[in-house]
Amino acid sequence: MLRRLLVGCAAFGAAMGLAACVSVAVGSSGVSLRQVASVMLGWVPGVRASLGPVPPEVRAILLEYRLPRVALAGVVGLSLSVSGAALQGLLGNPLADPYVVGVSAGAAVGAALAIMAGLQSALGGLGVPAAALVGAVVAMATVMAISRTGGRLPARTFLLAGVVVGSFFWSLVTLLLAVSGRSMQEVMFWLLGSLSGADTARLWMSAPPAVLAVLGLWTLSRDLNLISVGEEPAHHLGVRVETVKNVVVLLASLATASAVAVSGVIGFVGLIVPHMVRMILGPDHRVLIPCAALCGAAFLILADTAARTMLGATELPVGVLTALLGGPFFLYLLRSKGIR
Amino acid sequence: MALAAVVAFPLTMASPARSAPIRVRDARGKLFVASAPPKRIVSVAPANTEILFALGLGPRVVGVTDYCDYPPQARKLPKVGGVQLNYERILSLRPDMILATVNLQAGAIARMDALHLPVFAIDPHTVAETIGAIQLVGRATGTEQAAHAVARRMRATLAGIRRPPPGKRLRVLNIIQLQPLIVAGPGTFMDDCIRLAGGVNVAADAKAPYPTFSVEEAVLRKPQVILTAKRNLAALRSSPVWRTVPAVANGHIYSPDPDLLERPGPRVVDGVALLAGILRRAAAAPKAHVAGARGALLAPRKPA
Repeated sequence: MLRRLLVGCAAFGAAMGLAACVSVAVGSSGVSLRQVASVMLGWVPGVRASLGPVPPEVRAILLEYRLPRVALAGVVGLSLSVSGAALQGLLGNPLADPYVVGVSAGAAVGAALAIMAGLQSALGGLGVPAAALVGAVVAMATVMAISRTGGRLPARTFLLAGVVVGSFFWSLVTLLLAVSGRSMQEVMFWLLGSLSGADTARLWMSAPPAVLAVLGLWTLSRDLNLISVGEEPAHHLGVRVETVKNVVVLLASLATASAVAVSGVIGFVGLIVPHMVRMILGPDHRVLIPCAALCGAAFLILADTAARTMLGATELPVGVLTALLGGPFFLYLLRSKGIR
Repeated sequence: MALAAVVAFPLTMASPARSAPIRVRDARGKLFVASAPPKRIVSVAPANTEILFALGLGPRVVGVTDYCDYPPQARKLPKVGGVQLNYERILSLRPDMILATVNLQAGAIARMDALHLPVFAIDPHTVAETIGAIQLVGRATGTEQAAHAVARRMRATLAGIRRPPPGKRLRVLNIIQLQPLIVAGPGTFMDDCIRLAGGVNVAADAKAPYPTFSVEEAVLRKPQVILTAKRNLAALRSSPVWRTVPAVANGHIYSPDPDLLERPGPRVVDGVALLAGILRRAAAAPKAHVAGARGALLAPRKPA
């Protein structure tokens, strides 16, 4: 186990670091590698002097936009992937993804309302993400309240409640779209999911829940292992099954909610990355949770780098890239290793 | 059958033909035939409503969309839906012409064709095509004279716009949405209006009409004027990245009435003239508007 953990974390951690370096280095043709090096390594004595001056707008782009965007891609990828891994294990359902709790639909309702109300500049530019976060938390709380019966949270009831609350909120989004008039396009573009709006404020909004989720879920990974064998045996082995379930759902949903709030609905990462890591390293959550987190971060950083550089100044929807990059690799793993 | 009786270009047609039979090909190449000029017209786009009223056909318009707000008397007309059209209501109005727009409502047009509704479609993508479309509507409704007058007036407005020489044109960015960044790219109505007003659209090389545009590129291209809705103003000004852009630093962010610049109708030339005025003032006073002051936000203007 320990060897797997170390090897997995080292490999995926290196992948994430490499992806981040590449992502920070590439972008608009108007920013040269020399400028990137000068700004990023400016703290090393002598580097700034030897690489020459950098115009203020290039410095602003690198420090206030590109760097936060790479970090945000990492945080969102990490949140979605780690939440997906935990929920798949907890619910014993390979189709579970971070959005099963209806958070994406709830966030969409919040975002649509904020966009229609013209709150784009409210709260220092965080009006829409804040509203999306509120919507996501409302959806999550609804699902948890509905599915809790007699102090318990039965997995099947929980899944169904999530699906139905999700559909309900998606219908609300459709309803809002039908009456939104001029805001319609803006809501649609938000729904597509993008990291284009990255800034440090969004990073601060989504990073704490992500860190909390990784640490919390990792702490609970032994319990998750036992629960995925069966709730009954887990209970007899001393796991406080219901408490663990509630905490896992809460942590995963909060991380997902803040990820969706800052980036819109980005598909595929939370469903596929956990499966990929599970196929490579096995189903032990003590290994899976940290490795899925690192792999998800690396994966979304890469996908977003491709999304913002492939067509020059025109960006592609990052959800397209996650599916195009991840799909074939996942199918290859599925054929060669089978699902675990 | 004299199918060739109608020629596709308006300038060759000048006969008044008030109550003569109508045979006109619409923008899809579909023949629109009527024994007399239409008397019950449904408009399914705000710009089309404006065109009909400009041609003096207001009294013949029996239905409009939820978004048709100009001229004011159009608001009182029966509504036939918004994004989603209500075909039952359109049928119940017994129209003898439905004025539609191809690029917005191809699906709706197919649906109305299937219901045997008399659709007449126009398809303007530029200001010049808008003038052509107005004349086409004139021929289909027996109002050629009025259409010519409108076209003349529009061309005169355009001809009166003074554009700076090519080397001195301001770089303009039209931000539709800030997060994610969506801008008006090539082939859009706004792109054409910016060019006609004497500016250069910095996103003219994008790969789509309304692309998600690279923030890095948008900033590095240093737009001198930004056109965007007022709701984006505070977010632009507080962003450390956008603050480095000349338009933001110098306070040249404007919100001209989108109804003037986005509707392919008779008022679009007023929008172009308004935009030309904005660009002229911005060029004359590159730093006149102190950053941090209330700014140079232009109030939406509604010319009569």
